[in-house]
Amino acid sequence: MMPHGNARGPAAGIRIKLLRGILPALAMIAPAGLTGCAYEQSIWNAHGPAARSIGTLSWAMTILFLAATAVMWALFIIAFYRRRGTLDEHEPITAGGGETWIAVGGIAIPLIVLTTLFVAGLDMMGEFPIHGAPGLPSEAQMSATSMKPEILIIGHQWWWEIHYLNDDPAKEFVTADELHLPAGRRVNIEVKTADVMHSLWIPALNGKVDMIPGQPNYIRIIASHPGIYQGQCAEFCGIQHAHMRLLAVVQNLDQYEAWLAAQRLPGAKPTTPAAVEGEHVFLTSQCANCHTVRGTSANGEFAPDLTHIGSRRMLAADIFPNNDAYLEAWITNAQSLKLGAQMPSLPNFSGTQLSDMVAYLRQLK
Amino acid sequence: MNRRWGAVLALVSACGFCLALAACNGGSNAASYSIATGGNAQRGRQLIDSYGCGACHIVPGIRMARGMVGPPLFDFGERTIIAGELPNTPGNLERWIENPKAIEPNNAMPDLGVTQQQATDMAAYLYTLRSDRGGQ
Repeated sequence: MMPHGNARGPAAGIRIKLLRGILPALAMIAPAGLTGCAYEQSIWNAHGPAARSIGTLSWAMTILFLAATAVMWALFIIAFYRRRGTLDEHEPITAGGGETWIAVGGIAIPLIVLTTLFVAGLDMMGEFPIHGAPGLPSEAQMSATSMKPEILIIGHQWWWEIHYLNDDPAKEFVTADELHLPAGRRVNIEVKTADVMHSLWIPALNGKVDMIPGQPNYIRIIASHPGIYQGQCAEFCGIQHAHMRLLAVVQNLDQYEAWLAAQRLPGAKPTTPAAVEGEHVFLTSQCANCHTVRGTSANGEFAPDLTHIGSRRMLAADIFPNNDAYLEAWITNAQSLKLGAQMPSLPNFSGTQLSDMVAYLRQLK
Repeated sequence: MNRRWGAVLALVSACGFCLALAACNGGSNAASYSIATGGNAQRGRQLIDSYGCGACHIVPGIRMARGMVGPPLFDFGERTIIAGELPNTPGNLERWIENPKAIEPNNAMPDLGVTQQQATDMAAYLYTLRSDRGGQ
């Protein structure tokens, strides 16, 4: 039992000491945690003008909010040490006063800060021409002027269908999950969805743009220099939402043009015996119902176009490296790698059939 | 009181720092010593990761290696038979990793182009997987 007349017993004393130790320690650890993992997918790793202005705004917000937090902690600590007496001193404790604090700290400062951020955010949204919003270009203007999209991205559960548009329909083609962009030039992208809402977000290049059923949206991306950047679906879209990623490959103009030209070609004809056999298995099994390989009888439209699967870096929406091991595992047991994906596990293939199909798909460069 | 304050601070900081570091490498450490094969287990661990063995196998200690196509490789160092037919010796294991189709032509394990030295290193890592080594 606590001795009478002393509200601060020994237990309370230990708790306070612990608190005094832990709080500064936490403050020291937090920045270490933030800087511990540096990788491409960050708003503070900008590689384009839109992303840079977003990064600047978020730095400003972070510093502002850290400053506000520091002030709040300072006030808390002052209140902690400036006690109004103990119970046994029988001092009257008045609850009044402090209206100025509430008016300034609770109303005026938040109003100023939030209004400033809102205006800055609105200004930045000029970087995101969203069709349909008041005062922004109509769909007709979008296609008639420089707003005309050259890439169409359609979100699926859980991958990205990417159309490279062209005035000449013979030059159009479809690919998946690997978005190639030219460096130093603006690219207008139209986004749609085939099922639920998704959101396209490549933090190094621009902000998020939602893919809304029945409402095409547009985003303009300028990538300042070549590189490979991670993208991510930013709108919860089902159990594999976190595994709906995108690889953005920014290339010099000539490399980009060469890539476009290569992607327009039909799928490579197999030459090795294993690849020839693999093509036969591919075309005569379930694969062709959902997948397309241009130049063959496989023309399914439910699943990613595999015409140049061998040239892609990653599998399953930028989740697994596109190597022989993962390609084979993906064919035979996709559900073990990405549970719930539309790609079924296909346990009907023998070991030889699997390696033949891998040989075929790998040479589809 | 100051000393206790300092001790708490140091302890919590140290824990936090370790967590921050561990978050980046998957939190696992292969034994760096070599067993039986003469290979380098640490290098083997990296090779198992980069060749994508985890696409098909559960490999303890490898990030994302949770495959459900082939057999799990728990306690591999204690297995007696590999590929369903060969004694689990370093020589057999290395041959199996290098060119599984040469041993079982119709099996699904792909020939990934692993070199002999790489197979030796990968085998060295697999032999560190034992129930008596901290449950790896």
